[in-house]
Amino acid sequence: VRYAFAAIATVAAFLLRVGLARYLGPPYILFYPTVLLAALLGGLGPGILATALSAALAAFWILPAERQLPQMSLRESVSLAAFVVIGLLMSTVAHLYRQARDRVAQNERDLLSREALESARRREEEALRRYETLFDKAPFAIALTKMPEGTTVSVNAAFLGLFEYARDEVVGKTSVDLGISDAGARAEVAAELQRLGSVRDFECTRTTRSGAQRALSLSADRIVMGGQDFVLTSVQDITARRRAEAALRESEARLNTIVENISEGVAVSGLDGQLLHFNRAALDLHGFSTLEECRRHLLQFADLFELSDLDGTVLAVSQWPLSRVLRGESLRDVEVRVRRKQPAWQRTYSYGGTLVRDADGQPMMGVVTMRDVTERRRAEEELREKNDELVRFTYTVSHDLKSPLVTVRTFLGYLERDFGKGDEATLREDFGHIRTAADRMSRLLDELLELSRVGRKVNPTVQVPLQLVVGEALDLVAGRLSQRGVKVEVTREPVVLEGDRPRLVEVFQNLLDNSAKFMGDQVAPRIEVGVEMSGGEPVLFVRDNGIGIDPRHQQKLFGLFEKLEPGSDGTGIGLAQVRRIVQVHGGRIWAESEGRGHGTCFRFTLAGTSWERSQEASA
Amino acid sequence: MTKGNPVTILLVEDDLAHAEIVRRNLAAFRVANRIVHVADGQAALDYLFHEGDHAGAAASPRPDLVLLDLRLPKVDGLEVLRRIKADAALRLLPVVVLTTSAAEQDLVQAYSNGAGSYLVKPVDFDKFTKLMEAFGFYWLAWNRFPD
Repeated sequence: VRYAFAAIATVAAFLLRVGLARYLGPPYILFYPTVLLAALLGGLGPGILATALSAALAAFWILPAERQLPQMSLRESVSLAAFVVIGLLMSTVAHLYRQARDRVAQNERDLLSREALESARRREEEALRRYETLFDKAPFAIALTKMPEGTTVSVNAAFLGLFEYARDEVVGKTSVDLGISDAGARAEVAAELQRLGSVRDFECTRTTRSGAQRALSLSADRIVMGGQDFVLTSVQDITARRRAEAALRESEARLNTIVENISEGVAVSGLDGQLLHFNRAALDLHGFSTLEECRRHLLQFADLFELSDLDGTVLAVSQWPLSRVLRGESLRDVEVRVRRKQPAWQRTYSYGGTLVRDADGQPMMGVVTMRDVTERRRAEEELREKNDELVRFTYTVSHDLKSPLVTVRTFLGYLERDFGKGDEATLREDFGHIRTAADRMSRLLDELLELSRVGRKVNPTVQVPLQLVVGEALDLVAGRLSQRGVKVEVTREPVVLEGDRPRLVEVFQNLLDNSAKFMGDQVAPRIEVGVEMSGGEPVLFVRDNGIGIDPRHQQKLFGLFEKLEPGSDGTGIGLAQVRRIVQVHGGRIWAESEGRGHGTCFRFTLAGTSWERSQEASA
Repeated sequence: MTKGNPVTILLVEDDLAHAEIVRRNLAAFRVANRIVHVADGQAALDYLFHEGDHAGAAASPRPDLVLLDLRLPKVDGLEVLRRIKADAALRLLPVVVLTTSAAEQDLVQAYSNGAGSYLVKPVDFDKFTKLMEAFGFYWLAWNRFPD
C-alpha cells in the first residue's frame, strides 16, 4: 500500500507538472514534496521508489519536451543527480524520523501497559488475601483436598484447631493418613460425593490428633480448578450439641421413668380439656388398661365417672379438679370422691394440680396429680370413731358404772335406816333396786371386756356358708325367740362369708337378739335374714317387723353405751360390738327404718363375701 | 311453800332406781304427786312440746322446774336443755342438771346451754340425802319461779 501510494503520488505530481509546465519553473519542483510525503508516510522504501520514479519521469518526459534536444546537458544531468541525491537523503531522514517517532510511541505504550498490569496484580493479590483471610478465619473447619488421592492442599485455622494439628503436618496428607477418619468412613463420603456431586450435613464421628472423638456435621463439594479435581469440605463440630441433646434425652428419659413409676397418678391435658397422657398410676386409679382409654375430652369422662365432694354433693364437670386447674387455679390436697359407673366402684382421691407454662409464661397444658386416700380416710374415720368410743368409755366409767354404785349405796342407806321399821315391802323393793344395779354393773363389766376383745380377729379366717353362721346364732338366741314366738326366715341363696367364724356368729346373734327384743306388741313377729346386690356388692340384711327406730335416733344406734329404750335390759354395747366386728371384717353396717311401728332392717357388707347368684335373685 | 301453788317438777331420769331416790327425798316437801317422771330425752321433749304420747296441752301441764339427767336414751340431756332454752315459751323454765357425771365438759356445756344449776349425784347415802334436802329447801321453799 505504501509503495502504491508512493507511485501514484509521483505520477500525480508528474501529470500536474506536465499540465502546468508553462507556469512552473524547475522540473523537480513538485517531485520534492511528493518524495518527502512518500517517505514520511511510507518510510524509506516508498521514499526511494518515489525518488527513482520521479527521476525517471523527469529524465524521459519533462526535460526532453522542454529543450527539444536528444541529449541531456551537463546541467540537466547534475540537477537530476542532485535531485536523486536529495530525494534519497529526504527519504533517509524521513525514515529516521519515522523510526524515532515509532520508538517513542512504543515506549509510551510499553509504560502504560506495565502500570495496568501492576495494578491488576495488586488487585488480584488483595482479593486473594481477602479470600485467604475469609478461608482461614471461617468459624468452621474447611479443607481443600486434591482428588482422587485425597491429599490435603489447604486447611483453615478452625480445621487445625478442631483436629489439633499444625498446618505443615496436614498439607500433603490424607485424612486417613492422619487418622482423622478411617478408610471405610472416607469411602462412605466419597461414594456420596460421587453419586450426588455434593454432600450436605452428613453427620459422622471423627478422631482428633489426641484421639478424642468429635461429632461432626460435614458438607463437601467437588470443584475443578486449573483442570484439576478438588474437594472442598466444611466441617461443623456438633459434639456439644450432641452432648446437650443426649443429656436432654437422658433427663427426659429419667423424668419419664420417675413419672411412670411414682405411685401418684399424673394426668396431662391440653388447655382445651383434651386428656393427653395418664401415667401408669393414673391409669390404674381410673381402672383403665390402655392409654387410648384416657385420651378423651374431660366432658366425656362424665360418661364414666361421677365426682362428689366429701359431703356427697355431686360436682359438675366445671368443678372437677382438672377444670379448676385449666382455669388457672393451683390445687393441693383437694379430696374428692370418685365413683366409676361401669364397672362400679368408689374411692376417695386427693388431687393436686397446676397449669404448666412455657418460658414466656404462657399456659401450655394442665397437670393434675391424684392419689388414693380411701384407706387413709377410712383409717381416719375409724380412728375418729375409736377416739369417740374412748371418750364415751371414759365417760361411762364416770357415769354408767357410777350410776349403779349410787343406787347400791343409797338403797343400802335406806335399808340400814328402815331395817327396824318392819316395812317388809319397802325392804324388798330396796333389795330389788340393789340387785338390779349390781347385775347391771356386772353385765356392763363383762361386755366391756368382750368389746375390748372384738377389736382384733382372734380366730383364723375361714370361709363358711351364711346358713351355718345364722344357724349357730339362732341356737344362741333360741330362748328369746321362742319366748316371743318369733318366726325366722333365712335365705337359701348360696352365700359364703369369710372371716373369724365365732365373731360372724356374734354379729347375727346380736342382730337377731336385738330384733327379738324390740318386737313391741307385734302379734306376728317375724325376722328375715337375706342378701341382695347393691352398688356391685352383696349386702346382707336382718329385717324385722318390730317397733322400728325413729329416723331421728338412727345415728345414735351403733354408738357405745347408747341405748334407745330406757326400760330395756341392754347396756348399749351389743350394736357397738356388731359394728366393730363388721368393720374389722372390712365392711359397713347401717340401719333402715321408716320409723316407729315400721320394723327395722339392719344392712351390712363383709369383705370377701361371695354369692354365686341365681338369676331369680338378681331379677 | 311461799308460793301459792305447789311446784311441779319434770324429772327426766332413765335410771328407775335414781328416780325412786329423788321421789323419796322430795316426799318431805309434799311434791310427790307433782313429780312427773319421764325416762328418756325424747319423752321429755314430747312432754314439754305436747307431742307424741303427750299430744294435747291438757295431758302435760307446764312444769315449774326440770330436773334433768344428762345421759339419756334417744335424745341426750344437753340436747333437751338446748331445745328448752331455744324455745320462746320455755326458755324461762329453770333446768337443774342432776347427773352422775362430774366431767368438766358436761358442766361447761350445761351452763353454756342455760342450766340453772348443776348437781352431781353423790355415791353416798347421807350425802345424797343431804343434797336432796338442800335442793328441796332451796328450789321448792325459797326459790321464786316466773309465772
